[in-house]
Amino acid sequence: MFNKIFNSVWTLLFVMCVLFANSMHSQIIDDQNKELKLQTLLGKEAVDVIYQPDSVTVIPVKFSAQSPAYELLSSGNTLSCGMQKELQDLLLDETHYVHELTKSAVFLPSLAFKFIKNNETKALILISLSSNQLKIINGENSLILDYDPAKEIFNSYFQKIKINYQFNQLGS
Amino acid sequence: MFLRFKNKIILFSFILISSCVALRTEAATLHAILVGDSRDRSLGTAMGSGVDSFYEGLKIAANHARLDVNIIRIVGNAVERGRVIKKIKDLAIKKNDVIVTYFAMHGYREADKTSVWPNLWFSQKGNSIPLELIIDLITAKNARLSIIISDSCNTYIEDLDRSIIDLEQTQIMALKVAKNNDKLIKNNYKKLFLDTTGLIVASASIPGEAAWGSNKLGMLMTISLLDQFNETVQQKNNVNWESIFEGIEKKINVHTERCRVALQHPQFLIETKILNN
Repeated sequence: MFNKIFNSVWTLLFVMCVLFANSMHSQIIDDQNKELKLQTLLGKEAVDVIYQPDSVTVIPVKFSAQSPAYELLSSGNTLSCGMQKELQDLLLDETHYVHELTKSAVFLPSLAFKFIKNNETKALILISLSSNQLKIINGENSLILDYDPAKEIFNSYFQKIKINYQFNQLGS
Repeated sequence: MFLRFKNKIILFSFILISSCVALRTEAATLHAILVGDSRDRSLGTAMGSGVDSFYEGLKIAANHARLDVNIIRIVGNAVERGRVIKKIKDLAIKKNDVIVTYFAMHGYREADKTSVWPNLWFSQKGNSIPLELIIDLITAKNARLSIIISDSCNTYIEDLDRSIIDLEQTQIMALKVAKNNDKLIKNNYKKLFLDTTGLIVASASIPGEAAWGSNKLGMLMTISLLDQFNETVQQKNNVNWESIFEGIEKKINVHTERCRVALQHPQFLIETKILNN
C-alpha cells in the first residue's frame, strides 16, 4: 500500500517536472523569437544601445526644414531610473510596433531621447506625436517605426515626460 | 456633264482627306504629371514605384484609347513645390485632352481644415500644397477629363507644428495590356479615357486617417487602384470610374487587417459622364 502511494507521488512529481521543463523551454523559445523579431525590426545595434545605456537624456525638439530636419531646443534632462526603465520597456517590445507597413504621414518631431554610453551619444530617438512614429538615428542609419499598436501607452508616457520635466511645448 | 461630276468627286475627296488630316492633328492627348517622393527613407521605394506603375499604365491606356501622350515624371531631388506648380501651369491643354496628376508623397491636415483633401508635403524644403490648390489649377485647364489622385496620409498634425510648415496658400504594377484581338479591353480603355468627360479627385484616406504602404509592397492605395483597374477593364459590364474607385477600399484593407493597423478609407469625388451613350 505504502509502496503504491510512494510510486504514485514519484510519478506525479516526474510528470510535473517534465511539464515545468517543457513550459520553461517554450518560454525561452518565445523570448528568443521576440528578441529576434525586435532585432529584425530595430537592428541589433540599436537594440543593444537601448538595452544598456549609461543614461538617457530627454530633450524638446522642433522640426527644421534644414538637414537634419530637427533642432534641439535645450540640453535636456537626464531621465530618472524609473522613467528610463519605462522607456526601455516601451521601446524594446516588438508588439508595440506595426510590422510590414508604414504610414505616409509627415514626421514632425517634438521630443528626442539621447542614449548615452561612455560619454558618447550612441543613439538618438525622435518622437513625432502627431503621426505616432519614432525615428531611431544610430550613426549613419535611421529608421522610422509606427507605434500605433501601443499609442495609448506611449502617449501616456510622453504626457508624464511633459509634466515631470515641464516641456510645455509638447501638445496635449 | 462627266467633267462636272468628276470635279464634284475631286472636291468631295479633298474635303474628306482634309477632314481626316484635321481629325488626326487634333487627336486628344493624355497629359500626366506624376510626382513621387522617392528620396524618402521609409517609403521612398514604394512612392517611386507608384510613379513608375502609373507611367507604364498610362502609356498602355493611351495606346489602347488612341491618345497621344505627354507624361512628366517628377521624382527624387526634383520633387519641389515650385516645380510641380510650374509644370501644371505650363501644360498646354486642348478641350478634348485628358489630364492625370498622381502624387505619392507624405500628407497631413490641420485640425481646423474644412476641406476633406490632405495637404501634400514636400520633404526636401519642408513645405506643402493643399490638394485643393492642385484641383483648382487642373480644373482651370478645362480638359475633357481631369483625374487627380493623391496617395498620402490625411492625419492631423499638432497645432504647434503648424507654424513651422510653409503651406502654399491658395514593385511596378503594370496595367492590363490588350492583345491584338482583345476588343473588349481596348473598348473599355476607350470608354474610360476617351468617352468620359468630367472630374475625378481621389485621396488615400479620409480626414484624420493614415495612408499605409511599404517599400516591399508599394503604396496600398496605388497598388489597389491599379489592381482594381485591371479587373474592371476585363469586365463586360459596369465599366466606369465609380466601380474602379469603389472597389479599392476592400483591397487596401486586406493588407491593413493582415498587419493589424487601423483600416484605411479612401475618399473620392467623381463628376463624370459618358459621351456617345
